[in-house]
Amino acid sequence: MKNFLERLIDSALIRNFFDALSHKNIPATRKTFWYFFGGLTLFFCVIQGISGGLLLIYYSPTPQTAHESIQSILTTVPYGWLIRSIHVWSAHLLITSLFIHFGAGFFMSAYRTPRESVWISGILLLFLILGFAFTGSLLPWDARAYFATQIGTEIPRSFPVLGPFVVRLLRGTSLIGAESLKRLFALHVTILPVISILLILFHLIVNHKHGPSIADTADGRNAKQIPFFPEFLLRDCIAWLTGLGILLVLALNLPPLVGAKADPFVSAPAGIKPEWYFFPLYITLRMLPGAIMGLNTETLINILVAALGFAFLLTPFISHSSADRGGISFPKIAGAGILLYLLGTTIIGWILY
Amino acid sequence: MWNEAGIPPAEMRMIATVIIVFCLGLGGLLIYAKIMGNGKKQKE
Repeated sequence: MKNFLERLIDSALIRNFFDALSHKNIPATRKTFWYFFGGLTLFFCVIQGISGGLLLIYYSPTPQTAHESIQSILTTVPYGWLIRSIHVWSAHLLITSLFIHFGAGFFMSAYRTPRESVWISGILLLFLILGFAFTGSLLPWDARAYFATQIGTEIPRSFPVLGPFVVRLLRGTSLIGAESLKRLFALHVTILPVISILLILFHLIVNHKHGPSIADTADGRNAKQIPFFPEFLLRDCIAWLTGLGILLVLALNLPPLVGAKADPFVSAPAGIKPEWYFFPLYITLRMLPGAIMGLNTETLINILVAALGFAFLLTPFISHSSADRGGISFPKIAGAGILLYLLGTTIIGWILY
Repeated sequence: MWNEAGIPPAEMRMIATVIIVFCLGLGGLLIYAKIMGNGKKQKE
């Protein structure tokens, strides 16, 4: 056994892996703090994979059994309540960490040449993670999940040309039902994870190839470098322990409960609202009138969100900036405006609704 | 002892939280000591 372990550690693959990591350097500047959110996001992704896999053993994706299986996980499965609580809270922390990672990358101009592939794969991962959150929210099959998904899947309908097709693709039928649960479940546990794992691997490999984004400022150029392995990884471990601590404090003390079973034949209960990360979209739709200059508001918002997604995806090509000299550029001003709007609408959503 | 939703009482969960946070904090301190030790070695 010892021989086998020695041979395994000494094998070319493992040795090359650690060699590559120890030759990778990370700049130790005032901005290094923000680098930890990438590792933290990956850490929460792993937690999601493990806790989701455990929940999958007991979850049953049909309208007749979904709610009962969640109840059973909470009441009869040993530590089922904790695993579900970890899965739910880890999702919130994952999205928070992902938004911070995205914002830090944007404002540190991490999209600059030659890191376009890192940026584009990161933006695609951001959409995929939000897709995970959306597809997972129906699975408990309680009243809130049912009606929130009913409203959520209705939003893309007004998107020109593709809208009705997307709604049909997600729901399978005209209203949320057994077919929708099956489709969103399949997306949540197989299709999205497979695409995400491949994209995360690609994101990590191209990030390793091109190295970390270093600001082209005096501070960035003269920065002290530390090896990724073991120096930066040790600091990463402290970030992971902190993340794990926050997650366990929340999961142990604020376990999410499940509401009454969904009944499609009753009207939606009052106060149905989406999760906090969809507040900006929800609040915008609620604040605006039904039509603006004769155009349907939902159509306008759909086009705006798609345009914004494309703008972020294509930032490396729009910006044309090959160096970050610490100055103020158009993408940064626009990004700051969007960030303020997102924060503002999220706070309004929390306070008013 | 456990409530209807199958969740242990708040006191039990609070005790578990304190133990876990203590262990994680200790782990964090050990890693921090290792980082400081590595830094000293490099300076020498």
